[in-house]
Amino acid sequence: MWSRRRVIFVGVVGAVAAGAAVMLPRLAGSGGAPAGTTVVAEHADMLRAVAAALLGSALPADAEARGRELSRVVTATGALITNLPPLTRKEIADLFGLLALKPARVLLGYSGDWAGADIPAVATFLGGLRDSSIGLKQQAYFALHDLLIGSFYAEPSTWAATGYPGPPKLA
Amino acid sequence: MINDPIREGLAKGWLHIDASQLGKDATLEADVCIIGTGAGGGIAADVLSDTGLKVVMIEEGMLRSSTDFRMLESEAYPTLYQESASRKTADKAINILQGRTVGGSTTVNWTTSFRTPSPTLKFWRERFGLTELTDEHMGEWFKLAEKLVNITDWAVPPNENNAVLERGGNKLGIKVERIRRNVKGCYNLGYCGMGCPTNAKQSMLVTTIPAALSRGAVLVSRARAEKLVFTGGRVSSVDCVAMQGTGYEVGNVRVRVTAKHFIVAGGAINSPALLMRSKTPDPFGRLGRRTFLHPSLVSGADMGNKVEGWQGAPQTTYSDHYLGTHAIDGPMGFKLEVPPVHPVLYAITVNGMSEHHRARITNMPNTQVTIALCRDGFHADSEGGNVKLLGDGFPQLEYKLNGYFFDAAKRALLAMAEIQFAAGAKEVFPVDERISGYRTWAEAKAGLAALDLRPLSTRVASAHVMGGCTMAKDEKEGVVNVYGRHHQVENLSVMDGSVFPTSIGANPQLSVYGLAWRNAARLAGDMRRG
Repeated sequence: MWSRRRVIFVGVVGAVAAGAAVMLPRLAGSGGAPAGTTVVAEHADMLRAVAAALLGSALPADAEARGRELSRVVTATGALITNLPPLTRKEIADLFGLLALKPARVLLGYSGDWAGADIPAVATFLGGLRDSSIGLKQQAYFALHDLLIGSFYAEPSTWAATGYPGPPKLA
Repeated sequence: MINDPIREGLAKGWLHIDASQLGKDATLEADVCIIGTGAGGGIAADVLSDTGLKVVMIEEGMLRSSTDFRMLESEAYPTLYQESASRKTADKAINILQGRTVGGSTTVNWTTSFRTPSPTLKFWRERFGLTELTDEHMGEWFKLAEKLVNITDWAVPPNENNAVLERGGNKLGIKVERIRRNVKGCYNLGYCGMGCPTNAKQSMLVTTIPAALSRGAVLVSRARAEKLVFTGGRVSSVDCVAMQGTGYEVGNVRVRVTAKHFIVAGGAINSPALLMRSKTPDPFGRLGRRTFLHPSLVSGADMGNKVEGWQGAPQTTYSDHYLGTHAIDGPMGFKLEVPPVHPVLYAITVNGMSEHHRARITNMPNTQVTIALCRDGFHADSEGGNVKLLGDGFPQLEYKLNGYFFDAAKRALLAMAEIQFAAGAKEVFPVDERISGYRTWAEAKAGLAALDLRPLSTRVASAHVMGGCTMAKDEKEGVVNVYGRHHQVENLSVMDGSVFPTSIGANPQLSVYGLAWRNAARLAGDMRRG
């Protein structure tokens, strides 16, 4: 595991430091792609912090309900990733792996930890990725955005607040 | 109680093999093997089985039918779409909606039906030597397809989402017309994109594929065609691998189909990819080139009152005004349409995050959305994308959004904003990460003029993939001839949107139906004569 992360680390730090617009790094011949459930389980703290920043007041204010909702989003994200092609799963796992490495994420613009993260700081970090002129950073933002926000609004219990009544009942 | 014609047919003994359930390898023999069951594959299966030929259909997606279609995005995207509806170009700047199920994209499209526009056919005749493809000639095939899938005028008034385009256009003197639809007894629900739960949509799933199955054709679902096997310059068989689960895992079980003729109809990304993996002759380097997308811009509007874009027939109005303001090979034109608005697709499309995003989502009932589909492929600066194979043989489309495109994108966002304001919008938000919204047309005009649109920041989507196995009279210019027959391989045809040498400039389903019907009928005649 360490050697794999090391390869990602070297590859991406090089690219980011050079300011190049590059693809998310990919490891050649490192075996099968992980299942979505495994990927999200390894990075649950990061995903919860990022989801909290992306969703803002869409999440319940009550701490316990909020925690449950974040757990649901992370689980749903895992299911979503499981249904993607192997190399896409690997790209996503590589991105998450990168965000787990402090030196790499400092270079990307976030120096905090994920457990107990300061959500406004995470939001600022995500805004930086989104508004960057580096393709890699923007791709990272949109990957997190689509996975987590899509997983949130796929759940029927989130619809009432949006005014969407859900599908009609057929006789 | 709504009948499910697929489940009924299976109960009657239709020959369907779910390859994911196979315990051991299988070999099938056919006169014609058709790879892909969408618009092209479906029509070909029907036409060829009708002449008594033995047909085997191969489909990577699952066999799902009306009983399974519960109008939920959470179920529809992972089970009915390529890459869970998140297929993307290599740079991730364009999201591509494409079907991956029996019936292909026809199972999940929005029922919008246009014949191939005259200027497109004219361009093909002049530029690609496809001299037979006149309006009169193709008109006969379109008529047959229109009858088969019941393409008719839609008499029900447009939903408010579509009415906004019509109202705004009328105010500005921009012609907006009504869209014809391939439905029969439509409930006007608005969930065409998640599989029609009432079988009103006359997709391949409920028309041609049942027709072929009832004549004894065999359908193999959850089987991925890995490669065509060549023997002495001809295709002798296709090697398929059984898929596992619901996604992209492959198993160890293999399915081999031998046939006299092979029809590739996997859509404009997967078809060229199959030919590439098979090392199909490509002496002039045309395979996987010129892939077009109708790259589309998105503009949202707060109308200040109920729109509820999730209900009612999703696409019923359109404008071709901006396809006619320049020559077809001049600055890129665009077609205006309206997409359905459902929570997941809307949430991932609209810009921003946190409170900005939440404000947009909670105003979804009052939100109108217009899209502009850019007509790519008619200009030297619009050569389209290239299909590449990744390390594991999976395809990826490289498509560069260049200055020529962004010139059209700017005009398209301006045109949509002007129409939305003319229809009474309180706020218009062209979807780009840097635009928080405009309150007046003057503000939109100034704001958009000052913005340098660019990939990723400016939202671009596609629901129409075309090209990559282009037809051309000259083998130096295309992969197949005007009948979809491969230029170098005698018993190989391509019958899907990948044969189009440019984009269509309109939603492509009827263009695929008409051309596939013509070419399948020709092939049937050729095979009869031996």
